[in-house]
Amino acid sequence: MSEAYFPVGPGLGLEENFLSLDDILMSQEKLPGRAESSLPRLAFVLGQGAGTGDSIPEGTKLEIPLWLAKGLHDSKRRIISVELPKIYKEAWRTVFSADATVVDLHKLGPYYYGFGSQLLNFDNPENPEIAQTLLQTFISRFRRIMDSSQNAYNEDTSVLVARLDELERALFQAGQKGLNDFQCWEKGQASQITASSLVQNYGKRKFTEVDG
Amino acid sequence: MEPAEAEFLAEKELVTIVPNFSLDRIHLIGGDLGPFNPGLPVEVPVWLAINLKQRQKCRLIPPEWMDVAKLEEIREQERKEDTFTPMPSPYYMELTKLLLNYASDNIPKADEIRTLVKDTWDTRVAKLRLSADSFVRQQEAHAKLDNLTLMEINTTGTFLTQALDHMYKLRTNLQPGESSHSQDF
Amino acid sequence: MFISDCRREFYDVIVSQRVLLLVASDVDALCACKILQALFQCDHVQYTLVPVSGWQELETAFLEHKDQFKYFVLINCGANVDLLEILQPEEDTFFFVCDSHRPINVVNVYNDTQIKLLVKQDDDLGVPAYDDIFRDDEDEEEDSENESEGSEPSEKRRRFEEDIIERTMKRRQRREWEARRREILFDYEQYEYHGTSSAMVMFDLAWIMSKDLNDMLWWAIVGLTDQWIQDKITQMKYVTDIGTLQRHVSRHNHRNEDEENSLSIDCMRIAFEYDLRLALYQHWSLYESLCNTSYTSASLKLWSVQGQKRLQEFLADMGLPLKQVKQKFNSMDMSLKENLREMIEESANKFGMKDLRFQTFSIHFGFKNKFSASDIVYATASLMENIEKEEPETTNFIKALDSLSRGNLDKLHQGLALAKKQLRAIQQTVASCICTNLVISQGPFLYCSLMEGTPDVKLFSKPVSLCLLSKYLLKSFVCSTKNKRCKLLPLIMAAPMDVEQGTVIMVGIPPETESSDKKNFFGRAFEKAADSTNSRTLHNHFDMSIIELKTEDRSKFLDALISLLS
Repeated sequence: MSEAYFPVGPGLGLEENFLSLDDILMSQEKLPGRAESSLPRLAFVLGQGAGTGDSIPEGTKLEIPLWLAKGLHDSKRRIISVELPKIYKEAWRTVFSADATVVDLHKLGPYYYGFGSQLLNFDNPENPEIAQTLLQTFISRFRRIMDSSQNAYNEDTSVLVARLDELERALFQAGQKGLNDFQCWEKGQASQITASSLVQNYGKRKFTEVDG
Repeated sequence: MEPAEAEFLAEKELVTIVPNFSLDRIHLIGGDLGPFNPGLPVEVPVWLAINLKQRQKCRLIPPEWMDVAKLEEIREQERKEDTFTPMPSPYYMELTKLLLNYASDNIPKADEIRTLVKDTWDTRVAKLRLSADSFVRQQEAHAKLDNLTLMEINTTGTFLTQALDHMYKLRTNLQPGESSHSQDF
Repeated sequence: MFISDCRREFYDVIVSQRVLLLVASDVDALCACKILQALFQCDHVQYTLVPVSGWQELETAFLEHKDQFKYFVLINCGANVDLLEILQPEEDTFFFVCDSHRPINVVNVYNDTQIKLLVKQDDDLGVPAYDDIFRDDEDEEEDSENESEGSEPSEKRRRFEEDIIERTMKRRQRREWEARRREILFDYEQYEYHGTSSAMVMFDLAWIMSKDLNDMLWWAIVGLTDQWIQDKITQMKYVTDIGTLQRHVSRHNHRNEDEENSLSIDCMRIAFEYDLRLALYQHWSLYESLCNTSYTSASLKLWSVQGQKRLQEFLADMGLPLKQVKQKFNSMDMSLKENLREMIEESANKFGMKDLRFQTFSIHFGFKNKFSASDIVYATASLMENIEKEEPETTNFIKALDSLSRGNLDKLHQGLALAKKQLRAIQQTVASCICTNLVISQGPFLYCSLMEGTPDVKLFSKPVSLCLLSKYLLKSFVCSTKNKRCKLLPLIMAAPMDVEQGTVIMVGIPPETESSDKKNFFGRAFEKAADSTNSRTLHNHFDMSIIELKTEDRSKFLDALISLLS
């Protein structure tokens, strides 16, 4: 079964995957921060003032998208400083370690894992804890995703995926596809098998050779 | 991989049929088949057996393991042990479906066999999920999945590899890697 | 000519050829076709299937394909006319005709090369002897020889006189012979009737080749049941054929169902049943089925108020609560269903319905699929004449053909729903015809004509539905009339066919009596009446007793019929 479009998965690490739509959408998410020095004539760009000439004074609180924060953040020149969004902070980390499965990750930021991994770029002292929480959250939520995706056959899955973040949803879909394909096969509705694209292309090439 | 492709591979397995026609040995790319004599059992691939059966040219003899007593034993064994027990055929699920769908009149107690095989399958898949969970929970680096069949791997394969992939990346985040620092500009 | 060895003379001949299947649009033909298709599939025979609903289509189909095919198999069509004359085939073209229409045309019977008839030999065919109807014309030759002979004048003269005497003698003989021939042919061709079902003939072929499957046996049963439901064969013939099939059924389904050897639930099982004669009752409610079955509705006279009252009494007599009777049969209380057949039969006897049960077969497969042979016949027939969508007739034909396979349950259920509609429509039309006295005695026959604008009139422009309607109507009429003479009359029924072209479809059916031999003389009568009045008629249907007629010519056509038959 060949598809016209192969989705590229998210990078899920310090680096984004350049071709991943998920990562592009994720980099648009806002991040709280503060101007460390005054930023002349940038108020309009950052959505802080009306006039084009307004500047942002030092110490102003900002909401900047991730991609911009990554560009402006520099430990040496101190243009802006970045704060942790609240779900990555100590208080929420405790919640996650208590029981990660009850949290609605979709509401709290649909790119929990990807965004969290990106935050590690900002040399925060809490980085090791954040990374640890991300991993543990994934591990403890894994069982539920696996069970629900491999058992929900022929039912409305919207309730099951409502609390999953985007990464987990993709995973859930992969599990569903495995289950559905198997069930279809068992009921005798399996699809036609086609030759691999490699073989087909090989055949085509041979024809053109003959023609030439 | 699609289940249909797994089934396609299973169709190469040999089964015994009793033909009701005679034909000399036939030479195919996959090997020679026959000769066929009325009443004399002969081994042929499943695809040919089903074709002949549909055209009423043979009677099918079920594989030795396709028997209620044997399958009950296998099911009990599978329930008792924590690891995967060896299956009588690497394509037990595919063969059961194919043979029971097309030749159920040649297989005694077909309904019971279907239930037994499905029970065994369910036990094994549940076991597979359980071990996958403990594998992830304990953050093991590798696992040994002996005696799993193609179809079983196929149903959870994509899911599991994708999940492990994510987990690997989240784990590399734990060590502040060198790669991130080289990005400084 | 008749084929005596089906396998050698028919199957082995076509098995290596490309074959054209021409199949008529009736359920028996479909079943025969299904059996043949299954055989063809086993042996990889290349065939093309063309549904034909009348002579015109048969001719067009033949002309279209005659360049590509040399072997033609005709199912339920072609036996009762001179095929060579209407098709004008090349010498190397062969026709295999499997047809239940009788009488078989004598030319078809005595053609030794191109026409092969697949007909059960033990049927009482009554074909006239060859010498009675064919005669080589040697006389003329002799005459010419005589003329060249002779030398002496006197002798010549004497010879000449003798010659004249001889010749007149011969001529007289010939005239007598011809008169006798006409008489024999008239006797032979006067009545139209039906022989052994084609599906059964095909099943016999499969059986001879030991390729008979349970599925094929089921199709043969459905084919026979179709003949019975369409009232094409006598009760006697039905019972005999059921007996034959029952031997096959027990041979196929005897498998000792012990612990060791039990068969999968998915496999099909055929069982002989002494079942209720209620149409579709297992897929309907008992009440609906009682109301829409012609036998019960005619016996209880359900079109009248008294009849409805009698139905209530009947139900009360059986002790079945109305609530149970009116709900789906499947959901009825198990305790009630246990002895239902016996209970109904007992009460029915009191109400004068002695034959409420009949011998038939049913199939089961899976956990919830149980169908009686008559269910399948109704469903398939109504799929074939489905008028709900404007689709080409081939689509309906293919759908009906598919519904006979076990794998296409959805199509079968669709057919059952359509069949219920059809039976309701028939019952309502019968009731309104009886209540408004639309059935009139014309002397030698009864006549009923449906007006344009009657509900469901479109349905009755189709031959099978119209035939069913006429049979149900005649049954009900016989039960309702007090006139003893009218009870013994046949019925002619007319329904509008095409309003724009101004045509009606007309069908004649034999009288409804206990000892009816189901022989129908309307085919020939229609032909004669049309000839004598120059009516614009179209004898397109394979049954001669169904014709199409211009509306304006109807009255003169009927007048001619009356004078012809009285």
